[in-house]
Amino acid sequence: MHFDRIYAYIHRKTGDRQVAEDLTADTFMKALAHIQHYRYTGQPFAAWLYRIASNVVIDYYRVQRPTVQLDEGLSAFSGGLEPEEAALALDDRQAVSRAMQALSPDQQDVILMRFAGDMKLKDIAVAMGKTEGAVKALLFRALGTLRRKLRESGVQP
Amino acid sequence: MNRYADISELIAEQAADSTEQKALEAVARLVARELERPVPYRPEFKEALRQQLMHAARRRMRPWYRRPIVVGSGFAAVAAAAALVIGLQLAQPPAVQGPNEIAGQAPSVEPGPSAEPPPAAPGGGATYLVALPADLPEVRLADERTGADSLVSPAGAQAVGSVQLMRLTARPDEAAFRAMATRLGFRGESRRTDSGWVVTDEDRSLTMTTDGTVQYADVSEPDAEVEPVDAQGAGQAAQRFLDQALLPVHSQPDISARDDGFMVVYTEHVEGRPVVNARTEISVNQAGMVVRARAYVPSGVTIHATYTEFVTAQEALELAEERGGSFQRAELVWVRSVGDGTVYLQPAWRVLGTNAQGTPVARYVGALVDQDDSAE
Repeated sequence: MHFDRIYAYIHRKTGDRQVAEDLTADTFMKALAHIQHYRYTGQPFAAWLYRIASNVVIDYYRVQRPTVQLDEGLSAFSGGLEPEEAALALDDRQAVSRAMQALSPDQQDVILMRFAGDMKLKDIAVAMGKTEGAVKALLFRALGTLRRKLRESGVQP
Repeated sequence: MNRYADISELIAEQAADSTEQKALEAVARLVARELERPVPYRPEFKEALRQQLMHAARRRMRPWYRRPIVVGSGFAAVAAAAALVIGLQLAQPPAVQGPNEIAGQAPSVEPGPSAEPPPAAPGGGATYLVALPADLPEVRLADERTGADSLVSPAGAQAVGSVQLMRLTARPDEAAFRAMATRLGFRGESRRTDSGWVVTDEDRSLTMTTDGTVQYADVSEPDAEVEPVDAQGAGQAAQRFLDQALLPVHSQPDISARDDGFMVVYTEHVEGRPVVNARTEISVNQAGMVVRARAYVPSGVTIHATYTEFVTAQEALELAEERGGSFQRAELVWVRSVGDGTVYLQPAWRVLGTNAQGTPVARYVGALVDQDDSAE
């Protein structure tokens, strides 16, 4: 569903629940206000929404320095696991979270849209205003950076 | 890892060796596992946003006749956007038919709003399988002779990512026809015909069809004592006629001399593209009298549907050459197409080149394709 994915995307980009709520509301209100532009351009709807969300996040950071709280909300993902498993899972999650912070904003967008948003690469390209080849290059470099950062954190995927 | 087959493929293509390939595959799996987890949100926030959007959407839903003409399908689109937070997956919203829409010509339309940039690459987005209207006629226009210099003139409109099918919103009716006849000085009673209305008055006749086409003829003898008009005078006479009939045009006339006077032609544009088969043509005799006219009832235009699958400029050139000749350049134009109760403006390619006899011509190739045929 669009709401869940857009909220998750913004939450992961900002790391703050309150900011994520504000920016998600902003994204959907902007989408509503400009819905005729979506029809005009004929883009995939999810790509169009992600594009708005991405711009909303960029605008937010233009006036506010990022203060990402990496671990916020992570404990909420540990339900149903034994304490030891939960601790290991939390380690992985924190390691992925930290590694993600080492990516450029564009690389983060590609990773989030592909893995969390389950979007096709060609749709991500539309959302980001880039070619599919550029998106592939960003994705490959992002995976390389994540591999290096995870290794530095002692995580062997 | 079928869901991420594209990523596996990318890694396989770009990894330096099998070790790196395996390592990156493992990273991708870990990242996927972590990022696929849903991010919890406050249900009350989702509900509050839903309410806020529904409220805003209702405020935007004004009666259709008060909406800007280019936002014709906004009702469905706004409702669709509001439905987002209820959890509905939105595909291309269907075009909304205006109530009792009939047709007319589109002398003027504001450019479609486009604050968002177009897709980066033509055809790069997902394809929405929006079927062509069943009553949309195929583009079949005869070749037009052009000057040899047409191939070196600046390039016209090109398609970027998608093309749109427009529909006219005017509703010509008998009252409008009578009003026009009265303004042009007809005193007789109008009568209904199979295709519209007609009124005659001694040497003059006026007809209007339900699709908004107006035709006028005056076969009275010109006054021999009147001084002949020049091209400028003919243009002024044509403009006076159109003003009197309340048939506004929004383009500069192209005036050419004929044996019996002048032909004044107006080509209207919609979103910067000419409507090539619905030009307003006024024939003015040497006495400065309008003797024949073909014009179109003014109308707004609304987007009927957007198509991401369409005939490209290159394909249009190839299709044109299949009919003989050699073509080098293509530009997008509109073709007025009368369907069953609806008049469309459909995008078409005007391809420029030479026909099989070597004569410079403009040939027309429809830009819309049946989505079922084009889907892979």
